[in-house]
Amino acid sequence: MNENFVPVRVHVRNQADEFKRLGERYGVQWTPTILVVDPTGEERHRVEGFLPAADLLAQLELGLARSEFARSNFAEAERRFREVVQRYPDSEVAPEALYWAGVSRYKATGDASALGETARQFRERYRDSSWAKKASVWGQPAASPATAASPAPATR
Amino acid sequence: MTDKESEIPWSSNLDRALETARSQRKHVLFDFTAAPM
Repeated sequence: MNENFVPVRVHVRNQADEFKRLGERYGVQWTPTILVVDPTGEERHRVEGFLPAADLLAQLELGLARSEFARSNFAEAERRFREVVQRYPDSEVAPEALYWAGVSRYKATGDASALGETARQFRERYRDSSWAKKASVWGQPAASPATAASPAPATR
Repeated sequence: MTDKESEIPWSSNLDRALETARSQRKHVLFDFTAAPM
């Protein structure tokens, strides 16, 4: 974890003033709340409530992928989303990561077949997830990039 | 927070952490907690 993160912790009672100041800045209303914050101070991912270690690690890696995506680093985002699926295939976030891996590839390349391929993968795994439902539109013959993903692929 | 909790070098200085994150191309993991310390 130290490889990717600089860890900061504030305690609701022991550091009450800091907790109040920073909690207001980030709109924190419950503990534990864990944020993935990019180097500019922008929140990129939030986990509220306790999670077992493996689930939390999956969430943190998802957060790093989301941060890359939000900053339009789509190739790196795809790599990180796929890593989440590979490392934590049974986690709650794996279907979400698979979905966004497909979107990231589409955004990086402009190739709509990335979406169709993602829909195909959802027919094989995570079929009961909400993300499979969201991806199902990509697997239909009439689906086009314009209807399948409203934002245009980025040109970098 | 994890099994290796004791190995995590927590600080409470967000501004300094952001500086480090910028210089080392990392993110900040920010834990708002009520757990016994």
